[in-house]
Amino acid sequence: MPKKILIVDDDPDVRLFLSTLLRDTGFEPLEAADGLEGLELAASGNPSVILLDLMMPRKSGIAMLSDLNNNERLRRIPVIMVTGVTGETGIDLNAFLARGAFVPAGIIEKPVDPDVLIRTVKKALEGSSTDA
Amino acid sequence: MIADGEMVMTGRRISENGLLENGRDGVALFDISGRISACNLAFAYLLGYEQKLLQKRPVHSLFRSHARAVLRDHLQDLMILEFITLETVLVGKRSEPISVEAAIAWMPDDHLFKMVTRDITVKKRLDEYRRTYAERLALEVAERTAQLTESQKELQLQKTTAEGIIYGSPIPMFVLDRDHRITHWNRASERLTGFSAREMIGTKRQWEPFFESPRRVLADLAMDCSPEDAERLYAGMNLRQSQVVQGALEAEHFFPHLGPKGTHLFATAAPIEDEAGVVQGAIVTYQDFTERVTLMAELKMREAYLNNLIQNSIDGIIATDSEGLIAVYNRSAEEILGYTPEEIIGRMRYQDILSHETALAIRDAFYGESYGPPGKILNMTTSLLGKQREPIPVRFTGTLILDGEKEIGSVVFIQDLRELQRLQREKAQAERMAAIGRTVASVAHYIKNVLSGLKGGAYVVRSSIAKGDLDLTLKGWEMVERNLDQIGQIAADMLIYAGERSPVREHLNPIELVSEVVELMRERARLAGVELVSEFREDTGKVVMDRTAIYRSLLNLVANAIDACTLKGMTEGEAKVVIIVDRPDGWAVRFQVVDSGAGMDEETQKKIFTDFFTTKGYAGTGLGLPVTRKMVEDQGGKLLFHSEPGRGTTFSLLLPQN
Repeated sequence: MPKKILIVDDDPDVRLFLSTLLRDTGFEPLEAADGLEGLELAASGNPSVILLDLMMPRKSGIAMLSDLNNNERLRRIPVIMVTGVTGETGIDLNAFLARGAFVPAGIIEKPVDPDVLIRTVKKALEGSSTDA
Repeated sequence: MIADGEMVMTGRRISENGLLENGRDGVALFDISGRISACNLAFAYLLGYEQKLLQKRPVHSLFRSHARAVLRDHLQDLMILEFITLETVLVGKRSEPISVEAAIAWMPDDHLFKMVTRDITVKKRLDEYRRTYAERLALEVAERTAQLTESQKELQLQKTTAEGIIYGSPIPMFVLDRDHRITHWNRASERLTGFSAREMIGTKRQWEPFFESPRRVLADLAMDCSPEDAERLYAGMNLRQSQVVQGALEAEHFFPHLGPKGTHLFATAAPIEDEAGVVQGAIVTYQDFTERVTLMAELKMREAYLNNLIQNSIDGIIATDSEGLIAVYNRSAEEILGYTPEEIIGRMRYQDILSHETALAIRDAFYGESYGPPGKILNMTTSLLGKQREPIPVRFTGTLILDGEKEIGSVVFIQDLRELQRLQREKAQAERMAAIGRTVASVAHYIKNVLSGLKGGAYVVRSSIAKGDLDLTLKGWEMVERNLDQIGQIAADMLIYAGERSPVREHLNPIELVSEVVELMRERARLAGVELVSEFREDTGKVVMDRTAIYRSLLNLVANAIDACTLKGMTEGEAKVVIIVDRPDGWAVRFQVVDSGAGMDEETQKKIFTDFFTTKGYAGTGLGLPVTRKMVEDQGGKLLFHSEPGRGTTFSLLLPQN
C-alpha cells in the first residue's frame, strides 16, 4: 500500500505538479488548498509526510504547524516545508524555527527540484519509521 | 633881652639882629602907648605896606575884633602878663584879612613890646583841608569797615555753604589742609568707607580706608608730589591729569575690601589754592562706578555671547544699519555668498547681493503680509547673488528693526538650500535605489514562482505523455500557459509602473469599454463560480481617456473582485461582481467594481497600494493595484475603495471632465 503524502498549498499548479511527481514515484498524494483543509486531511487522511507551504489564505502554514504541534497524535507526522518565502514576505522562518517549538523534517525551496523533493520525502519517511 | 627904652638903642639892636630883619616871621616893636616903633620887612610885606609907613602907627589899628580891643585898651595888662600868644586876623593894606599867630612879649629893658607874627592863612587852609579830609577819611573808613564786615559775613556764609555742600553731597569727598590733615570727611565718605568723620577729621588717616599701610593718597599727591612718585604710587590705577579740573589728578581702581563685592572707584583730587596761587589743601571726590563696571562686564559678556552665537550660527546672518549698509555678516553667510567680511561690511547693501527682481520681491514681502506680518519675512524661498554673481537658492527669514515708526536696520537669516537640495536629490536617489532594489528582489521572487510553475507544468506534461494520460497532459500544458501569461502580465505592469509608457488620449464611450471587460472576464468568473454583471446608470457620452490604461485597470479590478469572492469560499450564486457606470458631480465618469467577496481587514487596507504587497500568495504580483492607481492618476483621475471584512469591497475609478 503506497504511503500517503499530504500536499498543503494554495497554488493548484504546485499541487498538480507535486501530486504528479509523488504519484510517479509511487506515493499516494492528498491535496489541501490551505491550512484548514490541511489540518482536516492530516487528521482524517493519515498521511505519512506533510508537504507544507507557508503563505496561504485562511490559515497559513505557520498557524497549521502550531496546531499540529499542539495535537499529540499529529505532532509525530514529519513535516517538510516547501516554501518560496524569503525575507520579503515578512515571515522569518529561521526565527520561527529557532524558537525550537518545531523541528521540520526538511526545508525545500521553490522552484522545487523533483530529485531533491523525493530524496527529502524518503529521508523523512525513514526517520519516522526508525522513530516508530 | 632888649635893655632900656631908648629907640636908638632899640633900633640898633634890632637892626643888628639881621636874623630878625630877614626872618620869615613878621616882627614889630611898639611902645607902651601902642605906637609901632620899628618892624621888619616880613611884617610890612605881610600887610602890604611899605616899612616906613608903619612907623608910629597904633598897633591895634592893624587888627580886627578882639585883638584890636586888647591892644588898644589893655597894654598895661600885657605888661603884667609879659607874654601872650593869640591867633587873630590882621587887616591888610587892601583891607584883606590875614590870619596870623601873634606872640607878644614885654621887654622891660627896652620898655617895648615885641610882637612876632606868622601868617597862618596857608596853615589855616591846610587845617581846614585836613579837617575835611579827616572827615572824609573817617566816612570812607566807616564805609569800608561796613563793607568788610559784610564781605566777612558773606565769606562765612560761603564757608558754611561749602561745608554744607560737602557734607550733604551724595558724592564721597574729603578735604585736606596744607598739612595733609583731614578737615572735611562727608557723610557719603562715611558710607563708602565705613570710617566716620569724627574719627577721621584732624588726622592723617586718609590712606586707611583704601590701603593696607600708610601711604600718600591721591589728595596728598595733588598737593605736592613729583610725577615720578605719583606714577610709582598709582601704578596700574590708570593715573592721569584731569581733562575737566585744572591741575587735578584722576585715578581708578578696584578696592576688593570695600562693599560686599568690592568697589570700583574713580577718584578726582584737586589742589585748593589761595588767591596768590599757593596750595592750601586738596579736595578729593570719589565716584563709585562698580555698577557701571559690572554692567559693562555683563554687556561685554553678552555681546561676546551674541557675537559668538551670530558667528557660529549654521544660518547665514546678515544685518544692516540705518544707512542700509551691511553691518553684521557671519561665517555661514560668508560661506554662502563667498564675499569676505572686509569686502562686504560697511561697503555693500542688500541690493548688491540680490537681483533687481528679488530685491523688489523681498521689499514687497517685508511690507506685505504674504510671508508673515508686515516687517517680517518667514521662510521665503528665494535666491541671493554670490560673489561670482551666481544665483544661490536660499530660505530667507528677516525682520525689520524699528525704532518707533522709524526703520533703523534689519536682520536676515539665510539657509543655503543648495546643500538641502543636494541632500534631497541624494535622498530621492537613495529612495529610488532602494525601490529598485526592492523591485528587483520582488521581480526575482516572482520569476522564481513563475519558473516554479513552468517547471512543474513541464514535468506534468512529460510525465503524462509517458503515461499516455492526455487529460493530465492538458492540465500540465494549461499550467505552462498560465505561467507564460503571468510573465507577460508582470512585464506589462512593470513597464507602466516604471513610467515607460505615456498615456494616449481618446474619446471613448465608457459603456463600450465595460462591455469588452465583461466579455473577456465572463469565462474566468464562471470558472470561479462568480456572477459578473454590468449596470449602466447614466449615459456619460464619450469621455477622454487612455483606452489601454483604463481597460487594463478595469480588468485588474474585476480580476481582484473575482479573487475576493473565491477567497471567501462561497457557494455558487452568492458570489457576485457588479460593474456600475455613472457620473457623479464634478467628474466625467465613475466606474465602480463591487464585489460580495471576503473584504479586507484594516491591516490589508493600509497596504493594498504598496508595491509587491499581495495576499494571494502564488497568484499575485503585488503590482496590480499600485499600477492601476498610477494609471488612473496619470490621467488626473482617482482610485478610491471601501471595504468591510466578510461583506465585500467596492473600488471606484473616477475620471475628470475634459
